[in-house]
Amino acid sequence: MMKMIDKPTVFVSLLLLVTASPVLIGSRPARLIATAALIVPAIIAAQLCLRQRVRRNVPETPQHGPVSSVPEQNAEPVDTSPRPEVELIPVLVNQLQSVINDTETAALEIGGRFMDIVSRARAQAARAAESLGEFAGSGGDDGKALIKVSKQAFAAVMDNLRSVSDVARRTLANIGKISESMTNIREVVSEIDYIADQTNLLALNASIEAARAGEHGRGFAVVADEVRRLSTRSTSAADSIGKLSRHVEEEIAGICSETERYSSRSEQRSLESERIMEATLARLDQVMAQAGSELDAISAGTGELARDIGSIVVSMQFQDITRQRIEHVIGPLQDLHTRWQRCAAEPNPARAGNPDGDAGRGVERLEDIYTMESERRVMRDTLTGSVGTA
Amino acid sequence: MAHTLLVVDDSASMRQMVTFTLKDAGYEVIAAAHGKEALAKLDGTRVSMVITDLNMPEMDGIELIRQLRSRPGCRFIPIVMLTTESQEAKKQAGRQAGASGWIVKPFNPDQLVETVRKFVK
Repeated sequence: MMKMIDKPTVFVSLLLLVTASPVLIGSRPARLIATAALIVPAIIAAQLCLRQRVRRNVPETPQHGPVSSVPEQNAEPVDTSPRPEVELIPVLVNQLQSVINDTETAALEIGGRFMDIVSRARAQAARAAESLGEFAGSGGDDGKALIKVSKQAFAAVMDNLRSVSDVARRTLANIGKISESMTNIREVVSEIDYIADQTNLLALNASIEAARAGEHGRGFAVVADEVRRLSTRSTSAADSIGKLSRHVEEEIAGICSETERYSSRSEQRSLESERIMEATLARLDQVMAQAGSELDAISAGTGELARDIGSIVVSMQFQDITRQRIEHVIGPLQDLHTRWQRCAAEPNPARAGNPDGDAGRGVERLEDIYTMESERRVMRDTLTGSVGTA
Repeated sequence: MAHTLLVVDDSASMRQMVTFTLKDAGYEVIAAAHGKEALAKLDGTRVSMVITDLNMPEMDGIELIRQLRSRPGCRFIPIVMLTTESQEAKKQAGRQAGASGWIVKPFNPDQLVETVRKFVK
Protein backbone atom coordinates (compact mmCIF):
# COMPACT_ATOMS: atom_id res chain seq x y z
CA MET A 1 0.00 0.00 0.00
CA MET A 2 2.87 2.34 0.77
CA LYS A 3 3.95 2.18 -2.84
CA MET A 4 0.58 3.52 -3.98
CA ILE A 5 0.60 6.59 -1.75
CA ASP A 6 2.23 9.95 -2.24
CA LYS A 7 3.35 12.32 0.51
CA PRO A 8 0.03 14.02 1.34
CA THR A 9 -1.54 10.60 1.48
CA VAL A 10 1.19 9.37 3.75
CA PHE A 11 0.93 12.49 5.87
CA VAL A 12 -2.83 12.25 6.32
CA SER A 13 -2.79 8.51 6.82
CA LEU A 14 0.14 8.74 9.18
CA LEU A 15 -1.50 11.54 11.09
CA LEU A 16 -4.72 9.64 11.59
CA LEU A 17 -3.09 6.29 12.18
CA VAL A 18 -0.69 7.70 14.73
CA THR A 19 -3.64 9.10 16.60
CA ALA A 20 -6.01 6.20 16.09
CA SER A 21 -3.64 3.27 16.78
CA PRO A 22 -3.36 3.66 20.57
CA VAL A 23 -7.08 4.21 20.70
CA LEU A 24 -7.55 0.73 19.25
CA ILE A 25 -5.69 -0.79 22.17
CA GLY A 26 -7.90 -1.43 25.20
CA SER A 27 -11.63 -1.61 25.50
CA ARG A 28 -12.71 1.52 27.34
CA PRO A 29 -15.94 3.01 25.99
CA ALA A 30 -14.33 6.39 25.39
CA ARG A 31 -11.64 4.71 23.31
CA LEU A 32 -14.23 2.83 21.26
CA ILE A 33 -16.13 6.03 20.50
CA ALA A 34 -12.91 7.74 19.55
CA THR A 35 -11.87 4.76 17.45
CA ALA A 36 -15.05 4.97 15.37
CA ALA A 37 -14.66 8.72 15.15
CA LEU A 38 -11.09 8.47 13.95
CA ILE A 39 -11.10 5.48 11.63
CA VAL A 40 -13.91 6.73 9.36
CA PRO A 41 -12.27 10.09 8.61
CA ALA A 42 -8.90 8.28 8.29
CA ILE A 43 -10.25 6.00 5.58
CA ILE A 44 -11.97 8.89 3.81
CA ALA A 45 -8.84 11.01 3.97
CA ALA A 46 -6.66 8.20 2.61
CA GLN A 47 -9.13 7.55 -0.21
CA LEU A 48 -9.28 11.24 -1.09
CA CYS A 49 -5.54 11.40 -1.40
CA LEU A 50 -5.41 8.23 -3.45
CA ARG A 51 -8.07 9.60 -5.81
CA GLN A 52 -6.11 12.78 -6.04
CA ARG A 53 -3.05 10.77 -7.08
CA VAL A 54 -5.00 8.77 -9.68
CA ARG A 55 -6.59 11.90 -11.14
CA ARG A 56 -3.22 13.63 -11.39
CA ASN A 57 -1.75 10.42 -12.90
CA VAL A 58 1.58 11.03 -11.30
CA PRO A 59 4.03 8.14 -11.27
CA GLU A 60 4.77 6.64 -7.89
CA THR A 61 7.88 7.71 -6.10
CA PRO A 62 9.82 4.77 -4.75
CA GLN A 63 10.26 5.12 -1.03
CA HIS A 64 12.31 3.19 1.48
CA GLY A 65 12.36 3.48 5.22
CA PRO A 66 10.55 6.20 7.15
CA VAL A 67 8.37 8.43 5.05
CA SER A 68 9.67 11.62 6.53
CA SER A 69 13.30 10.69 6.03
CA VAL A 70 13.07 10.64 2.22
CA PRO A 71 14.60 13.84 0.85
CA GLU A 72 12.49 15.80 -1.53
CA GLN A 73 14.40 15.33 -4.83
CA ASN A 74 13.04 16.15 -8.28
CA ALA A 75 9.82 17.68 -7.01
CA GLU A 76 6.89 16.90 -9.23
CA PRO A 77 5.13 19.71 -11.10
CA VAL A 78 2.36 21.02 -8.97
CA ASP A 79 -1.12 20.44 -10.25
CA THR A 80 -2.92 23.70 -9.56
CA SER A 81 -6.24 22.57 -10.97
CA PRO A 82 -9.20 22.63 -8.58
CA ARG A 83 -9.15 19.75 -6.10
CA PRO A 84 -12.71 19.44 -4.80
CA GLU A 85 -11.88 16.33 -2.71
CA VAL A 86 -9.21 18.25 -0.85
CA GLU A 87 -11.83 20.82 -0.03
CA LEU A 88 -13.52 18.09 1.97
CA ILE A 89 -10.82 18.33 4.61
CA PRO A 90 -12.81 21.04 6.49
CA VAL A 91 -15.72 18.60 6.51
CA LEU A 92 -13.49 15.99 8.15
CA VAL A 93 -12.23 18.59 10.56
CA ASN A 94 -15.76 19.58 11.46
CA GLN A 95 -16.69 15.92 11.84
CA LEU A 96 -13.83 15.43 14.27
CA GLN A 97 -14.74 18.62 16.10
CA SER A 98 -18.32 17.36 16.33
CA VAL A 99 -17.03 14.11 17.83
CA ILE A 100 -15.10 16.13 20.40
CA ASN A 101 -18.19 18.16 21.27
CA ASP A 102 -20.46 15.11 21.46
CA THR A 103 -18.08 13.08 23.62
CA GLU A 104 -17.47 16.12 25.82
CA THR A 105 -21.22 16.58 26.32
CA ALA A 106 -21.67 12.86 27.02
CA ALA A 107 -18.72 12.79 29.44
CA LEU A 108 -20.07 15.85 31.26
CA GLU A 109 -23.50 14.28 31.60
CA ILE A 110 -22.11 10.91 32.74
CA GLY A 111 -19.73 12.63 35.13
CA GLY A 112 -22.48 14.85 36.52
CA ARG A 113 -24.82 11.94 37.12
CA PHE A 114 -22.12 9.81 38.63
CA MET A 115 -21.05 12.57 41.00
CA ASP A 116 -24.66 13.16 41.96
CA ILE A 117 -25.04 9.45 42.78
CA VAL A 118 -21.85 9.49 44.83
CA SER A 119 -22.92 12.62 46.72
CA ARG A 120 -26.34 11.16 47.49
CA ALA A 121 -24.87 7.82 48.60
CA ARG A 122 -22.47 9.60 50.92
CA ALA A 123 -25.21 11.85 52.31
CA GLN A 124 -27.40 8.82 53.02
CA ALA A 125 -24.53 6.99 54.74
CA ALA A 126 -23.84 10.09 56.84
CA ARG A 127 -27.53 10.43 57.76
CA ALA A 128 -27.69 6.72 58.71
CA ALA A 129 -24.60 7.08 60.89
CA GLU A 130 -26.00 10.22 62.53
CA SER A 131 -29.38 8.58 63.22
CA LEU A 132 -27.75 5.46 64.66
CA GLY A 133 -25.42 7.64 66.71
CA GLU A 134 -28.38 9.50 68.22
CA PHE A 135 -30.17 6.23 68.90
CA ALA A 136 -27.24 4.30 70.34
CA GLY A 137 -25.47 7.11 72.11
CA SER A 138 -22.39 7.02 69.93
CA GLY A 139 -23.26 10.22 68.11
CA GLY A 140 -21.38 12.41 70.53
CA ASP A 141 -24.43 14.01 72.13
CA ASP A 142 -25.24 11.81 75.11
CA GLY A 143 -28.39 13.81 75.85
CA LYS A 144 -29.90 12.53 72.61
CA ALA A 145 -28.89 8.93 73.12
CA LEU A 146 -32.24 7.22 73.15
CA ILE A 147 -30.91 3.86 74.30
CA LYS A 148 -28.99 5.40 77.17
CA VAL A 149 -31.98 7.48 78.26
CA SER A 150 -34.24 4.43 78.02
CA LYS A 151 -31.88 2.38 80.14
CA GLN A 152 -31.73 5.11 82.75
CA ALA A 153 -35.54 5.43 82.79
CA PHE A 154 -35.95 1.66 83.07
CA ALA A 155 -33.45 1.55 85.93
CA ALA A 156 -35.38 4.30 87.79
CA VAL A 157 -38.68 2.43 87.36
CA MET A 158 -37.03 -0.76 88.59
CA ASP A 159 -35.69 1.06 91.67
CA ASN A 160 -39.19 2.35 92.44
CA LEU A 161 -40.70 -1.10 92.11
CA ARG A 162 -38.00 -2.60 94.33
CA SER A 163 -38.51 0.15 96.97
CA VAL A 164 -42.28 -0.57 97.04
CA SER A 165 -41.53 -4.25 97.75
CA ASP A 166 -39.03 -3.26 100.43
CA VAL A 167 -41.62 -1.01 102.15
CA ALA A 168 -44.15 -3.85 102.14
CA ARG A 169 -41.56 -6.20 103.66
CA ARG A 170 -40.61 -3.68 106.36
CA THR A 171 -44.32 -3.05 107.17
CA LEU A 172 -44.84 -6.80 107.61
CA ALA A 173 -41.86 -6.99 109.95
CA ASN A 174 -43.20 -4.09 112.03
CA ILE A 175 -46.65 -5.65 112.19
CA GLY A 176 -45.00 -8.88 113.41
CA LYS A 177 -43.36 -6.95 116.28
CA ILE A 178 -46.72 -5.31 117.19
CA SER A 179 -48.30 -8.76 117.19
CA GLU A 180 -45.63 -9.99 119.60
CA SER A 181 -46.31 -7.01 121.91
CA MET A 182 -50.04 -7.82 121.86
CA THR A 183 -49.23 -11.38 122.99
CA ASN A 184 -47.26 -9.91 125.91
CA ILE A 185 -50.18 -7.60 126.75
CA ARG A 186 -52.55 -10.62 126.81
CA GLU A 187 -50.21 -12.40 129.26
CA VAL A 188 -50.08 -9.28 131.48
CA VAL A 189 -53.90 -9.00 131.42
CA SER A 190 -54.15 -12.65 132.39
CA GLU A 191 -51.81 -11.96 135.32
CA ILE A 192 -53.95 -8.93 136.36
CA ASP A 193 -57.06 -11.14 136.17
CA TYR A 194 -55.37 -13.72 138.43
CA ILE A 195 -54.28 -11.03 140.93
CA ALA A 196 -57.81 -9.57 140.97
CA ASP A 197 -59.29 -13.05 141.71
CA GLN A 198 -56.79 -13.63 144.54
CA THR A 199 -57.48 -10.13 145.93
CA ASN A 200 -61.20 -10.82 145.82
CA LEU A 201 -60.63 -14.09 147.71
CA LEU A 202 -58.50 -12.30 150.30
CA ALA A 203 -61.17 -9.58 150.71
CA LEU A 204 -63.81 -12.29 151.26
CA ASN A 205 -61.65 -13.97 153.95
CA ALA A 206 -61.02 -10.57 155.53
CA SER A 207 -64.79 -9.89 155.69
CA ILE A 208 -65.34 -13.28 157.43
CA GLU A 209 -62.61 -12.55 159.96
CA ALA A 210 -64.03 -9.02 160.54
CA ALA A 211 -67.49 -10.52 161.28
CA ARG A 212 -65.92 -12.86 163.84
CA ALA A 213 -64.18 -9.99 165.56
CA GLY A 214 -67.56 -8.33 166.10
CA GLU A 215 -67.52 -4.70 167.10
CA HIS A 216 -63.72 -4.59 166.86
CA GLY A 217 -63.74 -5.83 163.32
CA ARG A 218 -66.33 -3.40 161.91
CA GLY A 219 -63.72 -0.97 160.47
CA PHE A 220 -61.75 -3.86 159.03
CA ALA A 221 -64.96 -5.14 157.38
CA VAL A 222 -65.39 -1.80 155.59
CA VAL A 223 -61.81 -2.01 154.26
CA ALA A 224 -62.36 -5.63 153.18
CA ASP A 225 -65.52 -4.64 151.24
CA GLU A 226 -63.66 -1.81 149.56
CA VAL A 227 -60.79 -4.15 148.58
CA ARG A 228 -63.32 -6.69 147.13
CA ARG A 229 -65.00 -3.93 145.11
CA LEU A 230 -61.62 -2.83 143.73
CA SER A 231 -60.71 -6.39 142.77
CA THR A 232 -64.04 -6.73 140.98
CA ARG A 233 -63.31 -3.54 139.05
CA SER A 234 -59.81 -4.86 138.31
CA THR A 235 -61.30 -8.08 136.92
CA SER A 236 -63.74 -6.05 134.82
CA ALA A 237 -60.92 -3.78 133.52
CA ALA A 238 -58.77 -6.83 132.73
CA ASP A 239 -61.72 -8.35 130.80
CA SER A 240 -62.09 -5.12 128.82
CA ILE A 241 -58.35 -5.00 128.08
CA GLY A 242 -58.46 -8.68 127.08
CA LYS A 243 -61.37 -8.07 124.68
CA LEU A 244 -59.66 -4.97 123.24
CA SER A 245 -56.34 -6.79 122.79
CA ARG A 246 -58.09 -9.68 121.01
CA HIS A 247 -59.81 -7.18 118.72
CA VAL A 248 -56.52 -5.43 118.02
CA GLU A 249 -54.88 -8.81 117.34
CA GLU A 250 -57.65 -9.72 114.90
CA GLU A 251 -57.23 -6.35 113.13
CA ILE A 252 -53.45 -6.79 113.00
CA ALA A 253 -53.88 -10.30 111.59
CA GLY A 254 -56.14 -8.84 108.85
CA ILE A 255 -53.65 -6.07 108.01
CA CYS A 256 -50.82 -8.56 108.09
CA SER A 257 -52.62 -10.90 105.69
CA GLU A 258 -53.52 -8.02 103.34
CA THR A 259 -49.96 -6.63 103.47
CA GLU A 260 -48.54 -10.08 102.76
CA ARG A 261 -50.80 -10.45 99.73
CA TYR A 262 -49.86 -6.94 98.53
CA SER A 263 -46.17 -7.54 99.13
CA SER A 264 -46.30 -10.83 97.29
CA ARG A 265 -48.14 -9.26 94.33
CA SER A 266 -45.78 -6.29 94.35
CA GLU A 267 -42.73 -8.52 94.36
CA GLN A 268 -44.21 -10.62 91.57
CA ARG A 269 -44.94 -7.52 89.49
CA SER A 270 -41.52 -6.15 90.21
CA LEU A 271 -39.88 -9.36 89.04
CA GLU A 272 -42.15 -9.51 85.99
CA SER A 273 -41.43 -5.86 85.13
CA GLU A 274 -37.71 -6.43 85.57
CA ARG A 275 -37.86 -9.45 83.29
CA ILE A 276 -39.80 -7.50 80.62
CA MET A 277 -37.47 -4.51 80.84
CA GLU A 278 -34.37 -6.66 80.66
CA ALA A 279 -35.83 -8.48 77.66
CA THR A 280 -36.72 -5.13 76.04
CA LEU A 281 -33.26 -3.71 76.66
CA ALA A 282 -31.66 -6.93 75.40
CA ARG A 283 -33.82 -6.68 72.27
CA LEU A 284 -32.85 -3.02 71.86
CA ASP A 285 -29.18 -3.94 72.22
CA GLN A 286 -29.68 -6.68 69.63
CA VAL A 287 -31.41 -4.26 67.24
CA MET A 288 -28.65 -1.73 67.78
CA ALA A 289 -25.99 -4.36 67.13
CA GLN A 290 -27.77 -5.25 63.89
CA ALA A 291 -28.08 -1.58 62.96
CA GLY A 292 -24.37 -1.15 63.76
CA SER A 293 -23.53 -4.06 61.45
CA GLU A 294 -25.70 -2.52 58.74
CA LEU A 295 -23.95 0.81 59.25
CA ASP A 296 -20.58 -0.91 59.01
CA ALA A 297 -21.75 -2.47 55.75
CA ILE A 298 -22.89 0.97 54.51
CA SER A 299 -19.53 2.47 55.54
CA ALA A 300 -17.71 -0.35 53.76
CA GLY A 301 -19.91 0.29 50.71
CA THR A 302 -19.08 4.00 50.88
CA GLY A 303 -15.39 3.08 51.08
CA GLU A 304 -15.74 0.89 48.00
CA LEU A 305 -17.57 3.76 46.33
CA ALA A 306 -14.63 6.04 47.12
CA ARG A 307 -12.29 3.51 45.49
CA ASP A 308 -14.62 3.29 42.50
CA ILE A 309 -14.55 7.08 42.25
CA GLY A 310 -10.81 6.86 41.74
CA SER A 311 -11.02 4.35 38.92
CA ILE A 312 -13.95 6.15 37.26
CA VAL A 313 -12.26 9.54 37.50
CA VAL A 314 -9.20 7.97 35.83
CA SER A 315 -11.38 6.38 33.12
CA MET A 316 -13.30 9.61 32.48
CA GLN A 317 -10.04 11.40 31.74
CA PHE A 318 -9.65 9.35 28.58
CA GLN A 319 -12.32 11.58 27.05
CA ASP A 320 -10.02 14.57 27.56
CA ILE A 321 -7.02 12.60 26.31
CA THR A 322 -8.98 11.43 23.24
CA ARG A 323 -10.11 15.01 22.62
CA GLN A 324 -6.53 16.19 22.62
CA ARG A 325 -5.47 13.38 20.29
CA ILE A 326 -8.24 14.31 17.87
CA GLU A 327 -7.23 17.97 18.11
CA HIS A 328 -3.69 16.87 17.25
CA VAL A 329 -5.17 15.42 14.04
CA ILE A 330 -7.34 18.46 13.28
CA GLY A 331 -4.48 20.97 13.44
CA PRO A 332 -2.20 19.26 10.89
CA LEU A 333 -5.21 18.49 8.66
CA GLN A 334 -6.08 22.18 8.63
CA ASP A 335 -2.44 23.05 7.84
CA LEU A 336 -2.47 20.55 5.01
CA HIS A 337 -5.67 22.06 3.63
CA THR A 338 -4.28 25.57 3.82
CA ARG A 339 -1.18 24.55 1.90
CA TRP A 340 -3.21 22.86 -0.79
CA GLN A 341 -5.42 25.93 -1.11
CA ARG A 342 -2.36 28.13 -1.42
CA CYS A 343 -0.96 25.91 -4.19
CA ALA A 344 -4.29 25.82 -5.98
CA ALA A 345 -4.53 29.62 -5.93
CA GLU A 346 -1.01 30.11 -7.32
CA PRO A 347 -1.01 30.08 -11.16
CA ASN A 348 2.75 29.69 -11.36
CA PRO A 349 3.74 26.21 -10.18
CA ALA A 350 7.32 27.29 -9.63
CA ARG A 351 6.24 29.95 -7.18
CA ALA A 352 3.65 27.76 -5.50
CA GLY A 353 6.26 25.59 -3.86
CA ASN A 354 5.63 22.08 -2.69
CA PRO A 355 2.06 21.53 -1.56
CA ASP A 356 3.13 18.53 0.47
CA GLY A 357 5.36 20.73 2.55
CA ASP A 358 8.66 19.50 3.83
CA ALA A 359 8.21 15.91 4.97
CA GLY A 360 10.98 16.26 7.50
CA ARG A 361 9.46 19.41 8.92
CA GLY A 362 6.09 17.65 9.00
CA VAL A 363 7.46 15.10 11.44
CA GLU A 364 9.01 17.87 13.51
CA ARG A 365 5.69 19.67 13.50
CA LEU A 366 3.93 16.54 14.74
CA GLU A 367 6.55 16.01 17.41
CA ASP A 368 5.99 19.55 18.55
CA ILE A 369 2.20 19.18 18.59
CA TYR A 370 2.15 15.84 20.39
CA THR A 371 2.08 16.05 24.17
CA MET A 372 1.72 12.38 25.03
CA GLU A 373 4.49 9.84 24.98
CA SER A 374 2.02 7.33 23.49
CA GLU A 375 1.49 9.66 20.49
CA ARG A 376 5.21 9.99 19.92
CA ARG A 377 5.75 6.25 20.34
CA VAL A 378 3.11 5.41 17.74
CA MET A 379 4.65 7.91 15.34
CA ARG A 380 8.13 6.44 15.85
CA ASP A 381 6.83 2.90 15.45
CA THR A 382 4.93 3.85 12.30
CA LEU A 383 7.88 5.64 10.74
CA THR A 384 10.26 2.79 11.48
CA GLY A 385 7.77 0.26 10.13
CA SER A 386 7.08 -1.46 13.48
CA VAL A 387 3.39 -0.73 12.98
CA GLY A 388 1.78 -1.14 9.55
CA THR A 389 -0.24 1.57 7.87
CA ALA A 390 -3.04 -0.72 6.75
CA MET B 1 -12.11 27.71 56.94
CA ALA B 2 -11.49 25.66 53.79
CA HIS B 3 -8.68 26.61 51.42
CA THR B 4 -9.73 27.92 48.00
CA LEU B 5 -8.03 26.40 44.94
CA LEU B 6 -8.04 27.68 41.35
CA VAL B 7 -8.52 24.96 38.71
CA VAL B 8 -7.84 25.87 35.07
CA ASP B 9 -8.56 23.44 32.21
CA ASP B 10 -10.16 23.90 28.80
CA SER B 11 -11.91 20.52 29.08
CA ALA B 12 -15.28 20.93 30.82
CA SER B 13 -15.32 17.28 31.90
CA MET B 14 -11.81 17.59 33.39
CA ARG B 15 -12.82 20.75 35.27
CA GLN B 16 -15.85 18.89 36.53
CA MET B 17 -13.81 15.90 37.74
CA VAL B 18 -11.01 17.91 39.31
CA THR B 19 -13.54 20.20 41.02
CA PHE B 20 -15.50 17.20 42.34
CA THR B 21 -12.34 15.46 43.59
CA LEU B 22 -11.07 18.56 45.39
CA LYS B 23 -14.45 19.58 46.83
CA ASP B 24 -14.84 16.00 48.04
CA ALA B 25 -11.51 16.42 49.85
CA GLY B 26 -12.87 19.55 51.58
CA TYR B 27 -11.52 22.39 49.44
CA GLU B 28 -13.33 25.32 47.86
CA VAL B 29 -12.76 25.46 44.11
CA ILE B 30 -12.82 28.24 41.52
CA ALA B 31 -12.80 26.80 37.97
CA ALA B 32 -11.76 28.51 34.72
CA ALA B 33 -11.55 27.31 31.09
CA HIS B 34 -8.30 29.12 30.18
CA GLY B 35 -5.65 31.51 31.46
CA LYS B 36 -7.54 34.73 30.73
CA GLU B 37 -10.66 33.54 32.49
CA ALA B 38 -8.52 32.36 35.41
CA LEU B 39 -6.89 35.78 35.80
CA ALA B 40 -10.28 37.49 35.57
CA LYS B 41 -11.79 35.20 38.22
CA LEU B 42 -8.73 35.55 40.43
CA ASP B 43 -9.02 39.33 40.48
CA GLY B 44 -9.63 40.25 44.11
CA THR B 45 -9.84 36.65 45.28
CA ARG B 46 -7.11 34.99 47.30
CA VAL B 47 -6.40 31.35 46.48
CA SER B 48 -4.12 28.90 48.27
CA MET B 49 -3.03 26.99 45.17
CA VAL B 50 -3.44 26.88 41.38
CA ILE B 51 -3.86 23.68 39.34
CA THR B 52 -3.64 24.35 35.63
CA ASP B 53 -3.63 22.55 32.30
CA LEU B 54 -0.83 23.42 29.87
CA ASN B 55 -2.39 23.54 26.39
CA MET B 56 -5.40 25.85 26.42
CA PRO B 57 -6.93 28.42 24.07
CA GLU B 58 -6.78 32.18 24.75
CA MET B 59 -3.93 31.84 27.23
CA ASP B 60 -1.96 28.63 27.85
CA GLY B 61 -0.70 27.34 31.18
CA ILE B 62 2.88 28.62 30.82
CA GLU B 63 1.70 32.18 30.14
CA LEU B 64 -0.79 31.96 32.99
CA ILE B 65 2.01 30.96 35.37
CA ARG B 66 4.19 33.83 34.14
CA GLN B 67 1.38 36.32 34.68
CA LEU B 68 0.53 34.91 38.09
CA ARG B 69 4.15 35.10 39.21
CA SER B 70 4.19 38.77 38.25
CA ARG B 71 1.25 39.51 40.54
CA PRO B 72 2.16 40.55 44.09
CA GLY B 73 -0.33 38.20 45.79
CA CYS B 74 0.56 35.17 43.66
CA ARG B 75 4.35 35.13 43.67
CA PHE B 76 4.67 32.39 46.22
CA ILE B 77 1.48 30.35 45.90
CA PRO B 78 1.99 26.75 44.73
CA ILE B 79 1.14 26.17 41.06
CA VAL B 80 0.83 22.58 39.84
CA MET B 81 0.44 21.70 36.18
CA LEU B 82 -2.08 18.99 35.36
CA THR B 83 -1.55 17.97 31.75
CA THR B 84 -1.00 15.20 29.23
CA GLU B 85 2.40 16.69 28.41
CA SER B 86 5.14 14.21 29.20
CA GLN B 87 8.21 15.77 27.59
CA GLU B 88 10.93 16.79 30.00
CA ALA B 89 11.64 19.94 27.93
CA LYS B 90 8.05 21.11 28.37
CA LYS B 91 8.20 20.34 32.09
CA GLN B 92 11.38 22.37 32.30
CA ALA B 93 9.61 25.28 30.56
CA GLY B 94 6.85 25.02 33.14
CA ARG B 95 9.37 25.05 35.99
CA GLN B 96 11.18 28.02 34.52
CA ALA B 97 7.88 29.89 34.26
CA GLY B 98 7.37 29.23 37.97
CA ALA B 99 5.44 25.96 38.28
CA SER B 100 5.87 24.18 41.61
CA GLY B 101 4.90 20.67 40.48
CA TRP B 102 3.60 18.49 37.70
CA ILE B 103 0.88 15.83 37.47
CA VAL B 104 0.48 13.88 34.23
CA LYS B 105 -3.01 12.93 33.02
CA PRO B 106 -4.64 10.52 33.54
CA PHE B 107 -4.22 11.24 37.22
CA ASN B 108 -5.47 9.27 40.20
CA PRO B 109 -7.69 11.43 42.46
CA ASP B 110 -5.77 10.26 45.54
CA GLN B 111 -2.56 11.41 43.91
CA LEU B 112 -4.09 14.81 43.16
CA VAL B 113 -5.42 15.26 46.70
CA GLU B 114 -2.11 14.09 48.18
CA THR B 115 -0.23 16.63 46.06
CA VAL B 116 -2.59 19.44 47.10
CA ARG B 117 -2.24 18.47 50.78
CA LYS B 118 1.53 18.53 50.40
CA PHE B 119 1.40 22.14 49.20
CA VAL B 120 -1.58 23.47 51.17
CA LYS B 121 -1.49 22.92 54.92
